[in-house]
Amino acid sequence: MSTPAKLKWRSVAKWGLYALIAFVLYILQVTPNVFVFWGVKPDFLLPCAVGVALLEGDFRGGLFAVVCGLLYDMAFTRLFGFNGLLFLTVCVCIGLLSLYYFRPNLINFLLFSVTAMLLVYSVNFVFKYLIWGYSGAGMYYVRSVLLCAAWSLLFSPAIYFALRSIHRRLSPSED
Amino acid sequence: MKDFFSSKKFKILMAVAALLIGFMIYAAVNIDWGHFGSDAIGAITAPFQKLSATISKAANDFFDRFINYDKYFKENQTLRDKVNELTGKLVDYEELQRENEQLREILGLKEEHADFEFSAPADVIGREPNDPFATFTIDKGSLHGLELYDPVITKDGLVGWISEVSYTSAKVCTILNPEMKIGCYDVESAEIGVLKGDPELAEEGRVRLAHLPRNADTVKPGATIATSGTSGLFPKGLVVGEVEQVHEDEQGISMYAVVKPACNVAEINSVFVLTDFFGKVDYNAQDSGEVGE
Repeated sequence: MSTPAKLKWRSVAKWGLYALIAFVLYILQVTPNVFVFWGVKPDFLLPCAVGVALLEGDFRGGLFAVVCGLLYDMAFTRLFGFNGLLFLTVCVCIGLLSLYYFRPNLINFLLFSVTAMLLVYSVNFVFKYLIWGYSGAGMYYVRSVLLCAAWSLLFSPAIYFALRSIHRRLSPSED
Repeated sequence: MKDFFSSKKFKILMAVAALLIGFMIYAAVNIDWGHFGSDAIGAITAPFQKLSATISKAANDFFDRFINYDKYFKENQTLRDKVNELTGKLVDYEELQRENEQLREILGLKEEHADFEFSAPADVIGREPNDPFATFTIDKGSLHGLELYDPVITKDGLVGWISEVSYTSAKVCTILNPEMKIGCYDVESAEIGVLKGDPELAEEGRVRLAHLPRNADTVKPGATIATSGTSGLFPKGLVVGEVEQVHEDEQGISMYAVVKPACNVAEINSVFVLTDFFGKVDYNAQDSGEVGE
């Protein structure tokens, strides 16, 4: 039987490892020429936020998503807080859905990831390109939204399995 | 799910959302403020980014070898061809430069001796190992118009003669060799003697001018010795060397001089062969047996 101190330690270790994964993914995200394919770099932070939301639920997942979103804002010089808010909204929804309707598994994670990516990238696309009336927006959409989502999806399972492994080993319910 | 919207968690999340909206508005108004977070996180992540970039570069370079193998292979082939071509050109260039220098020397000699006919400049391509008389082989032969006993010279003076000739190469017997006997004279005093190789003097790269008259005190150290041309084997006036010492010979009948050759025959790399000159006697056509002065 776990003591409260042990449970607390496990919780701290779990969120510390989540944070470490987010940090490593952030580093990969901002390092030039890493996994760049056809000029498109995959997104690691959003699948990470989605994975944590799926495994940890609405509240904690939402707060973790805010951190990932703010990292995203820092990495891409966007309006500070914009992606934090987007990540929060999307991940709270995913957390709630996982709590009531969807079991956390790889298929659901991939579905949520694709949906989240398309939503977040599309909103970014609208505010970054569409409303300014830039030419070649369609091509940009294909590259920055569709290709990026597809490419990111290839890496997502690895992120999910890493998060799930931490979750299974360090969550109190699994003790 | 209804419980969620009325829960404390929802209120906290809404507060966070409001805070984020506040951040956005503040960041939109104060453009520099948005960079604060980036700068702070950048300071923390920079070393890791550097490490990550180094690793990724190494990985990229590693996989790049395999992915672009064909490209690099072709590029390598092209560059190799280019290097070979340039090396060939460099060799040609150096050859031409050397040939040019040699031709200039020939020109100088030609101006001095209008009757001289030269072969193409010949390079020393081999030397007899441990030969005290410095016999060597040149890269020109009968194909280039060389004949037996043709004089071999440099711009400085006499070297020897052709002792063996093949189609594309020839062996040169130098003036250090005792077989060589050349009629010479002291340019200043006009005393005549016979220049021949001496095994002892050859060790020092010197030759003997023998058979000088006993009263030949006019031959002094520093005097220039040249060929007399009496045999028709060598042209007249070809510089051989310089007198270093004058001694009485072993029999006490005559005097001899130790002559330092004008060119260091043991170290020369290229020579000319005199194929014709005024007064040349063709010893190849004769069956005289003994050749010399």
